[in-house]
Order: sequence, then C-alpha cells, then structure tokens
Amino acid sequence: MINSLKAEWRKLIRRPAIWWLGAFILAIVPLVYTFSWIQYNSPSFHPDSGATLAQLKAQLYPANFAATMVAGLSFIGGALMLVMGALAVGSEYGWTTFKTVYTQRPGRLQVLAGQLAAVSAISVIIVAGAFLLAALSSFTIANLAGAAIVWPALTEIVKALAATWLILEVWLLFGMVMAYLFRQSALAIGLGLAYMLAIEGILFRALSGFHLSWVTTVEKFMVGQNTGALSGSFQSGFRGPTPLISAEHALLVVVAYALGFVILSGILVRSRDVV
Amino acid sequence: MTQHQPVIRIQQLSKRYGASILAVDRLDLEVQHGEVFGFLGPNGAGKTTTLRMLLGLIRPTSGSATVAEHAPGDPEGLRRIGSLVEAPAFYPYLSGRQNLKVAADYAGIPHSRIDGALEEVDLLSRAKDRFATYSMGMKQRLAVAAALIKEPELMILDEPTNGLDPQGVVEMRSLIKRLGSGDRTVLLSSHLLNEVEQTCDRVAIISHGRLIREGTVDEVRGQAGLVVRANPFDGARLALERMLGGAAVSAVDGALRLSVAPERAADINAALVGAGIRVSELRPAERTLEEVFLNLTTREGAAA
Repeated sequence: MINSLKAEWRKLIRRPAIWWLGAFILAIVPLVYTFSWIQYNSPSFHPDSGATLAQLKAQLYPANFAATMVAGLSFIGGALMLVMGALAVGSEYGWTTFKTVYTQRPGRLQVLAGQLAAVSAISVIIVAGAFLLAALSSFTIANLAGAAIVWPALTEIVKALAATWLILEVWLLFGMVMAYLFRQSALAIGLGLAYMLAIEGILFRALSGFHLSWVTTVEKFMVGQNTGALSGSFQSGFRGPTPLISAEHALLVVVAYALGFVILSGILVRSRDVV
Repeated sequence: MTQHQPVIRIQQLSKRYGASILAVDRLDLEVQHGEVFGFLGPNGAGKTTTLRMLLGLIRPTSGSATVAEHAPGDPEGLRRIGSLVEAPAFYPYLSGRQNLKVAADYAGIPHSRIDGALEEVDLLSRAKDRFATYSMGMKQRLAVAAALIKEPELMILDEPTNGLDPQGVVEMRSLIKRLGSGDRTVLLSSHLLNEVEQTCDRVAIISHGRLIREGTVDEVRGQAGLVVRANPFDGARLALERMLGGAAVSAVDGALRLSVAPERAADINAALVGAGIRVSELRPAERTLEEVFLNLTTREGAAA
C-alpha cells in the first residue's frame, strides 16, 4: 500500500493536468471574493435573494469565510474534482499503463488503495489551500471595508473544511468510478458532468415543480442533492426556504456514496481483464 | 526456485471471448529454468493472450498456469518476473528515470538499481528526457529497463522488436542475447524467426490458440534434406522419384529438393551417375525455422 501510494503520488504530483485543475480551483477563490466585493459596491447593484446588501457584504468578511467557502466551492470544485478523478484513472487506460503497473508487483486493490490515498491527499491540499486563500481574501476585504476582523470558531472552520473536503471527495470518487466503468476519461468526464449538471441540476429542479412525492423521495437519496444540502447547511437562513434534506441525513448519504464508489471501483478493478 | 522445476507450467489453458472467439485452446506448455524459449505463432494465434494470462492481466476461461512458482498475477510471483507485453506503456509527461522510479516504487525495490538498468539498455544519456519524446526503440528499451530493475529470474518479452527500425532491431537483438546469456529464463514471443532460431533453446508454435509444435530448434526444424542440380532435369527427377518415392522429391528454383537424410548423398550421387545423369551440385539443405513455421501455420490455417 505504501509503495503504491509513493508511486501514485510521484505520478500525480508531476502531472500538469492535476496542477491546472488545482490551480483553477484555487484561483476561483480570490476571484469570486474580488468580483463579489466589486459587485456589492457597485451603485447599480440591488440584491434579489431576499438578503440585504449588508448581509451579502458580511458573507465576505472573516467571520463567514468558512461557511462561504463550503457553499462557494462545493459545486464548481466538485465538478473539477470529478474531472480530476476521471483523469487520474481514465488516462491509465488511454496510455495502457495499467498493464505496466499491475505487472510490476502490487495487487490490483493495493494499486487502487494507493490511487485513492494519493488523490484524496491532493484534494485535502486543494481544500486547505482554498480555505487559506479565502481567509486571506476575507481579511483583505474586511480591512478595505473597515469592518471588524472576527474569525469563526476553530471548530466551525474544521467542520466547514471537513464538509468541503467530503463534498469534493465524493465527486472525485464519482469521476474515478466512472473512468473504471468506461475504461477511459473522455466518456467518464462527459457523462459524469452531464449527470451532475443535467440530471441532478436541471431535471430535479424541473420535476420539483410538479410536487410529486416519489420525486422528493428519490431526490433525498441523490448524491448531488445531498452534497448541496450539506453545503447549504452552513449557510445562514436568508438564502432560501427550509431545506428538503437535513445536514445529518446529507452527511450520511454522502459518506455512503463515497464508500459505495470505492467498493464499486474495487469490484471493477478486481474482476476485469486488462486488455 | 529449483533448477529442475519448470519456471512456467501451463495446463489446459483456454481463453474464450464471448461465444465465438476461442483465443487460446487447451494449451499445455512448460518452460524450464534457464532456457530461452521462443513462443511463435502468426498474428491472432493467441500468443499475447497467453502471455497476458501468465502475467495475471486477464483471467483464463479454464485451465491453470504456474509462473515462478505462483499463480499468475500473484505479487510474489510478479516480483520475480520482468515483462514487456506489446507496446511499451509509460507516463508521457514523466522522464525515463521518473517512469522507472514509479515502476520501482510499485515493485517495492530501491531506486539505486535504476541507473544500472538505464545503462544496460543504453538510455542513461536520455534519462532526463520526457517519455513522450522517445523514439519507438528507446521506448522499447525503457520497457526492458523497467523489467531489469526487478533483477528478474524470468523475462517475458512479447514482440520486443515490434515497430523498430532496422537499427532498433539490431540493438534489441543484442540486448535479448545478453538477457538470455546468463541463468535467467526468457520467454520470447517474436515474429523474427531468424532471431529466435539464433537465440532460443526451445520453441513452441501455436496457431488458432492451439499448440502445433514444440521442441528444440533442431527438433522443430526437423530432418534436413538434400539439394540436387542435375542434367537432364526431368531424367534426374524420374530417377530420384523411383528411388525415394514421389513425396520425397520436389522441384524448387530449378533444383530438386530431397527430403532424405544428408548421409544418403553418396548413394544418390552414385545412382544418378549410374543412370547417366550428370550431377552438377549435391549439397545438404538446412530447413529454416521460417520454412517450418510457414509450413505449419499455413497448413493449420487451411485446416481451420
């Protein structure tokens, strides 16, 4: 396992695509803070979400940086992590390197374990980096606004960090299992994003208008609805109506999906021929 | 591993894809310790499928195999096996050395062996360059280096000269000769029958997934013959057919080829001279492995 982790880490950390994806996720953070601040200070801006301008500005201050990050990073970060997971696995099929890896020595499940550990470590680094940038951005904005510098409690920061990591991780694992399933990255990315955006994003939103009970029941167990609910649980109440899914339920479902994706990957890795 | 035990033992190994494709059909084979074994067959004969089964990359439909005293794909067995299956596969954005470090990490072996392996395959000067910039020959040699860092007892090489230019073929040929010169067992699948003939102790020929001939190179080549040039040609042919039987005489490029032991040359010469035929050439004719291979696989192909 340690040997596989070393090999996977060596591969991933030198891969330009991983750096680009990581850099993109990190770059989003200060950019969103900057553009939000510019927008909120524009004379033509009028809030339309039921929140006051003061409440919106307060989201950019240090007291709210952790909660803002969970909500802000979950969707776009999740999509990019799905791409990362699909690339980490799918490229091995494209380059036919699985045959080189599996004939070196390690068992297939050991390779998978190393792969999971390496990409998970990278997602931890990205999430931690994004939180650090968010803290710096909020600190800068608060100074510019002359607002008080009040940081959230450490437990709040840790909870928000863990939730963000879990949300990004489940999409990362989804990308990986899709790549194992289709034995390539292109289809895994295409179908993965289509599911994330079209099925979870658009279809359920459209169906919810019909107020069908079975739709609501299914929705409660969909991965995207639960990652959304988990990130939404960190937001203060002004954003919308009472959520359909509780934070505790969302946490359990997201963890179950993460485990399910790992188990399914393991089954595919073990049972399939490498051709 | 004891020297008397086969390094590879294949028993009734079969691989079926779907209902219609039988890639390997009840194959039985043994490769002994220290020998260089040639594994021959036309494209689609089942060579690569067999080698992939030996390495645990694909699972057999039925039958069994033991490789380096372990089941195929067992990490302990793989530790002792170096392999190159079809095209070399590495990470294009990593250098040759970094790729070997990745391979060494997976195998759990120290990086200190890497420079020696790169030197062995003459890639040390290009070790810092990205794999994507390598020529086909360099890629093949890097794959051999990845196998060598494990200091393997068994090398499985599947078409190592595929896609190489003549210079690359020459380099790979000498490398394979070096690999097989020591105590190491080498299983070599190749289309270059001349190379196989020169480097292998024993060979097996498969066609349509079935073993059709196995033995030492001399055994597989079979009995040598004689080539006769004589005048008049038709008279010589008639006399020889009467003497040896029609099946033993064939006309090839203006000469007569006789499927008889070369020791009978004096008798044949005397008989022809006695019949008033002038013999201008009478010499032993070695059958090449290529001739035997083409003969066997064409016949098998027609039968199938």
